[in-house]
Amino acid sequence: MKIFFKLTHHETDPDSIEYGLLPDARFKKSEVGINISPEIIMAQKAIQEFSAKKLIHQNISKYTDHFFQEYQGVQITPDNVDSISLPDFDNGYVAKPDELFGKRGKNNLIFMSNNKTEIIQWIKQKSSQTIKLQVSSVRTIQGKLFTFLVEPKIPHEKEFYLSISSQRDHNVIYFSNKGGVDIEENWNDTIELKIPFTIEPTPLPKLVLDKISAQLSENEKDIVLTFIDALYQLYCELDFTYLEINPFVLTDQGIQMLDCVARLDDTAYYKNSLIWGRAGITFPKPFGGEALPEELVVEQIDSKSGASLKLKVLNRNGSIWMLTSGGGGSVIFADTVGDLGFANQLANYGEYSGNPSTDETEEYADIVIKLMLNSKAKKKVLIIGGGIANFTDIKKTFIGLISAIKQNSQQIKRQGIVIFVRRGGPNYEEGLQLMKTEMQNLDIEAHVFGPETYMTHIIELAVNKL
Amino acid sequence: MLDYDWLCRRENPSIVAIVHKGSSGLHKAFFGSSEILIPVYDSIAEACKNHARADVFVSFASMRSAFVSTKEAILQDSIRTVAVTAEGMPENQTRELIRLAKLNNVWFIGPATVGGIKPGSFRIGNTAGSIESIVSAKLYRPGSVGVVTVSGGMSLEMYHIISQNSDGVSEGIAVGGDTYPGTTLLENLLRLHSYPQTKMLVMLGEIGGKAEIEVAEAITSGKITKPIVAWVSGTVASQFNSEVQFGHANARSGNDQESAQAKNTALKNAGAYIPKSFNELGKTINDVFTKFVLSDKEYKEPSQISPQLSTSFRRPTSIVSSISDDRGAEPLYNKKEISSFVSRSIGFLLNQLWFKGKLNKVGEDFLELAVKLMADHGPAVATAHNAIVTARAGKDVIDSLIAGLTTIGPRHGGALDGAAKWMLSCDQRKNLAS
Repeated sequence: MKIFFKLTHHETDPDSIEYGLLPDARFKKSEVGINISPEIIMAQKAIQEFSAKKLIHQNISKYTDHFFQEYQGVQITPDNVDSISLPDFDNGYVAKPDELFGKRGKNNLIFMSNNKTEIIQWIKQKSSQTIKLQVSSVRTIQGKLFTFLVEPKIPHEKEFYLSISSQRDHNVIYFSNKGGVDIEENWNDTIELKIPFTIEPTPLPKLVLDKISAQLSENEKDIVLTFIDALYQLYCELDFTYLEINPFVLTDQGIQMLDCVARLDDTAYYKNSLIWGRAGITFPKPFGGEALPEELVVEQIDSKSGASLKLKVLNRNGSIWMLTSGGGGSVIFADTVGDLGFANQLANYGEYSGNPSTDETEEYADIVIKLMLNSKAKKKVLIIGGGIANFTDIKKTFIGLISAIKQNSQQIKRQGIVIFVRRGGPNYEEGLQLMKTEMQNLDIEAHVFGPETYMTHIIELAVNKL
Repeated sequence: MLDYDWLCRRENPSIVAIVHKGSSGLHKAFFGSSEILIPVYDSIAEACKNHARADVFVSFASMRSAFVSTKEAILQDSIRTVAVTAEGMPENQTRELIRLAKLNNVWFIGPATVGGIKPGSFRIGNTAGSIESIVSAKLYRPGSVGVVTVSGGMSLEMYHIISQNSDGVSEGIAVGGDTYPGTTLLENLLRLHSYPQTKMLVMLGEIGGKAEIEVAEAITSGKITKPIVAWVSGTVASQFNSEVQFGHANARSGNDQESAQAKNTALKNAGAYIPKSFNELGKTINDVFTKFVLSDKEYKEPSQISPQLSTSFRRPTSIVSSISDDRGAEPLYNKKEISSFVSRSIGFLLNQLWFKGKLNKVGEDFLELAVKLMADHGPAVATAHNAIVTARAGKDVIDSLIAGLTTIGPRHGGALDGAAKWMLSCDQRKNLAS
């Protein structure tokens, strides 16, 4: 079974030292986009190359005595770019952005020099520009670069490819002695090895080691097999979910990883916090994924709450504004807007679920409503939608929604915004009645429905108002 | 869960035991309007030993403790199904539980889901929400439609839609949205498919992952022959320009084959019934139900039992006796005939009555000794004793105080009065003498 993202997408740049990165492996939709199903915990998260390498260097000695020297890479951010003094490297420096994306060579984002000052100047120059990234033939992303990685340039000959990934009942290793920029062309020489899953780190079976061994020359065997075996156990122990090293090379100083892509299971943070912390593991936002201030506020409320509150603005000047609840349900409301041909009018995606408090709901709704009031669309509708909740208290959350509407009622009325409501669940009758009465009092046009009305019917009604 | 049992007219509650470390004893709960006692155990092993017929283990443990307890449950001989609600279980722990469950032939639902419901029989935790929503979605009696969803939050909505467009749900499972659900969409669909009462299937999937593709393959290969209505949500994701992408834990690869559209198309090509949008899902279910289920000559409507609503007032009792039982021909002390105590020591008797026989011989001897030392009313405090006995009989403070005070007399609490009288009498006699 091929596990990833066909290598045909993989564009390489022979003029650079971009070592055969699998762009899709770096650039997951989920990393760029928004979590549309918050019931699903975003367990697998990409980490920076810098911290991935540090994590491996700091811990691999647990599984091998082989010489594996201290990691020499330096991370450069806006905080330290003016104060940093780079260490002396014999063979010069390589600088590249460390922002969870690949194709850095292709995008002219790798710089080599023997001069420290030049390296820092290049970094300053790149971080002052807005960078447009071509991530696939149809897809570009814009943004600013913040984090860079500077490493010693390592002269070498042979390049090896290694990846480890997780499946339901086994892990998969891909290995090739023809790694580097040509991994794509040489994919047929890559061997695939399946290892049954065990929760305790277990040395690789002899059969697997034999297969890798057959790809190696006598003087490589010992060190490469030890490295892979140790790395595999580290992968299991430290809750990696994906690890790709392309390439690693053999030097007099032992194994050197030239590039590294890794994802960790962030739900395992609590058991790895010390080790991950020592390596400075963070789960940064992907490149170009800078959030609006409003989205950041929601993120803050979300992080403090036991409930789930999410917001992503899709179109600041959209007509259809969503105050939908439930991970699964909110997606279906957004789907229906699209299915009826109004995707371009959809202003935001968002959801609140898990029984948020009245205050949290009010704060969240106020943010969405203010964004809506600022939209330049001529006609606007507000969708307060949700399925039939298992345990979210409808009355409680609706009181929050109503007070947010009240705070902004003058403008809502002036702009002629129409509100559509559909919801069910604990105390829904009281919640819906309250909504009806209050909207009448405020003289705001609102259409309120309960579980007897098909969930997405309000979307049909709403788009007719546009 | 007990309210649901009552609603379905179950004769006995579905919950036979609770495991709560450090709180062993009894848990008082309402079953209908009467109270029942559910034993609480310190360990899963102990609970299973005492209730070998119970084969389902539902874990409400927190994310950090769920792994250890679920693992222990899977390894019990008597347990055949485990359901785990905890969210945020590390993937490797889930994978280990999946491995152990397979090895031990245990069905594993979850983690990160409300669970599931078998109308007329059982529901896991909060599945299907309040009693009102259960009644309105007719989930108190079985229908003909087997339902499997990824989302737990959308499961009740689905049951409701199905109840309005068919004869109702035969069983509903929400597998949860983790990367590795304990059992997959397909595994659950195949299980429901194997039950004769399942006449058709409904599946609600999500963007990302390959679980729905597996279902499509099972339809193609003939493993699923009953009609199946399916919808994969997340179609809106592909309608956005490059600036916005949707995705989630299962949508790892950004692979086109894992988009909602691709999966809906794959399911449709395989022979599943796919609506144009979620908006028409209800109608599609109705069409398929009418065409395939209703038209079957052997089709029988589900029994029209009405839900049993608990209308009478629930009044919690203040005193519970789990020791003495006078319902049979001979009264029992801690499940033993009262006559069997005649030949035993007082210490043994008190051990049975007060500690349910948990004390060893040393403890019994100590009790016996205590009784001997306190047997006479002299050193013992008759007032307090009487007040306590009266209070334990359920009387109020005033009655208890009165009962205590009535013991005050010449031999108890009367000493002061007596002394005063004697002194007075001495004094009078002295006066007489002079």
